[in-house]
Amino acid sequence: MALCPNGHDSADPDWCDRCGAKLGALATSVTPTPPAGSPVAPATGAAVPGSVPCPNCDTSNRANALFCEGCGYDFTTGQLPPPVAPPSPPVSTPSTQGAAPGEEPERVPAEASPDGAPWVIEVSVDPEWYSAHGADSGVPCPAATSRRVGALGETVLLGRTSHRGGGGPQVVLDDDPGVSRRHAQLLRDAAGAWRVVDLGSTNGTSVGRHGAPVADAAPVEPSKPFDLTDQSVVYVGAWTALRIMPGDADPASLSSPEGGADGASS
Amino acid sequence: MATFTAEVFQNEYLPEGATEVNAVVTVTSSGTGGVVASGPASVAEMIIIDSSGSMDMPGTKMVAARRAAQAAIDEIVDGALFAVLAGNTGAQVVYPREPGLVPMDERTRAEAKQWIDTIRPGGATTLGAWLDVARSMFLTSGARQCHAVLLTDGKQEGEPPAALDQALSAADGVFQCDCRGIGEGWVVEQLRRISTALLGTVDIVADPANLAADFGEIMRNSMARGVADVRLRVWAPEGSQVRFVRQVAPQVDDLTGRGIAVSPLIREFPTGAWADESRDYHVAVAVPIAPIGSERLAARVELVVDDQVQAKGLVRAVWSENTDLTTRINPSVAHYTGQAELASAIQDGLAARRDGDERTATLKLGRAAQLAHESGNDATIRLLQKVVDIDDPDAGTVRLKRQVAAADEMALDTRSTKTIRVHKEP
Ligand SMILES: [Zn+2]
Ligand SMILES: [Zn+2]
Repeated sequence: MALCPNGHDSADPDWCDRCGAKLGALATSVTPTPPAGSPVAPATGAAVPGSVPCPNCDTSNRANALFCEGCGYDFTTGQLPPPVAPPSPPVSTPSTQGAAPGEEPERVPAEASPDGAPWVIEVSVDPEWYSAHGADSGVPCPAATSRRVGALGETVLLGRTSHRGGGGPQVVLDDDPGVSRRHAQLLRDAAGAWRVVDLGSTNGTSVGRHGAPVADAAPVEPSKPFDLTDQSVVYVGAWTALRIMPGDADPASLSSPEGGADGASS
Repeated sequence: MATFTAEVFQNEYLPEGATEVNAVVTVTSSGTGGVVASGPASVAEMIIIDSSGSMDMPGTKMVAARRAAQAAIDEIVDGALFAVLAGNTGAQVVYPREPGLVPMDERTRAEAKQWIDTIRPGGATTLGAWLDVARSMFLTSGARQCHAVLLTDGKQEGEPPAALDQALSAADGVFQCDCRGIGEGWVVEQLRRISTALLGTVDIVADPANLAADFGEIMRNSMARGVADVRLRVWAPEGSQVRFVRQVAPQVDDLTGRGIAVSPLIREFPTGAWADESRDYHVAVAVPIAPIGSERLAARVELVVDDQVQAKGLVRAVWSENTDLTTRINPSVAHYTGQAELASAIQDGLAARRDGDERTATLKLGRAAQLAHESGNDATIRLLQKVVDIDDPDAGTVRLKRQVAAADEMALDTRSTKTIRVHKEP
């Protein structure tokens, strides 16, 4: 058994049986995974060591970032993203103001109409996630609410509205202080299977299982697509939880914690 | 002793952020020895001859079909099991006159030929029922390398349309089937569905006089196959997605949906029995992004017989900042991407032409002419020229012909998937 730089046991001494990493080579391909439960840091701010300023908007970015968090500038090609019409602002109906953590979130109309969209993304304020990971942000958790966003394309960007224009996210999470501008992307393949990839966000992206305690949610490796099941919950920022469901699905039928096994597969 | 080799053609260098890896894997077998080497008793052959009422219109079709069946009988080696079916409303066993299949020898060969002469037309074309009868006979024969050749002159009728797909899913993995259409009354799509599902070939025999030679060749090819049930095993890393696995030579055949998962990261694609031959496969995998300088295995493609790996090809991914490396397009990948597009451009163009959408038909067949010209696929150019006038092959400018013989259109359709090879060209 050979040990892969990413921690896998491999029967093949040349290439890792699980991730394909070249064995015996320098382990430069490992991106460190942020430890679970790390406190939420501000998503944007002053330049930190090892960061690079964006030539387009001066936002400070991680040294190995693929895209600028501020404007979506592509560091690899030097290209600006095409301008995108700004999405309508999220509807936050404080109708359950003061709800205790754990109370059933109220559903409100979607910001982008999910009508006709084959998939919808349910975006919720999750007080349980906030108690575990977001309380350090110092920003009080809003009321537990939930909204639904239609997912028309094969990729859905999660993040914050850029003040400089540029590639706006399809799921706008401006209220959550722990969300980066280009935080994560949801990817759908031709078979309808979804994956999430963290775009090198400041606070990371975690995936848990619907109905399971948030403590069981685990951070995903940045830049590496992670397979989702129909029971997966994606956590970002201080309090945001996202679930993907078929556009015609009855939400009640999807809230059952029963279902297929979680975890990555090919 | 059969040996297999696998050779990989790819540009392994990817720019930062890229995830898609493409490779052409050429697999070559030698020393397979034919059915004599693998033991004729483990081989079963079935000849399925359409004897529906339309075979009498004109009667030359029925006569040609009998001659073709007899020519095929002559090619089956002694010791191999065989049977002859007449397909009409249901299927009748013409030979043997006892249950099951019989070994070929001097006596059974002579008897079978005599009984073939008694086949008379009458009834419907129940393709699904014919395949069902063949499947159950193969299953009880105990043979492990089963092959049929099916001849029809008509389209499916006399049974529900779903009967064909049901028969195909039941027959999957039981036997391989080569299909031939005679005349112009059959449907290319139906026979292509059979030959694709059952790992065979499909073609039109426009002139009944050529049928016997064609059947003889089909059977000789089958007798040359000495290794049964060869599988293409594809491993791809965790977090990746196998976008497609496509046979691209000698003909385009998309295998993607036919993989059998043997583990979360490994799928096997049945490829049927092999003679001494060479086939090319195009594999496309979307892999997780890795930083510049990383090297990963993007796919491992293996040829597997009886669960033993016979040959292995490694598809790699190396992320690089060097644009001289990352912008290169591998000639094999480019060539076969074009050949696969050529096949679908022809099929889409002919479908549009049948629907009366002349604009789409002209565009698609123009694109086909351009791709065939670029790649030097002269056989396809000649078939296209019977359906369109090619004004400018470089630009893909064509005009639809007003008068097209149905047989010419069907020939173009059935042969649209035939590719020419790239590495073997001088
Ligand atoms: Zn590994
Ligand atoms: Zn920027």
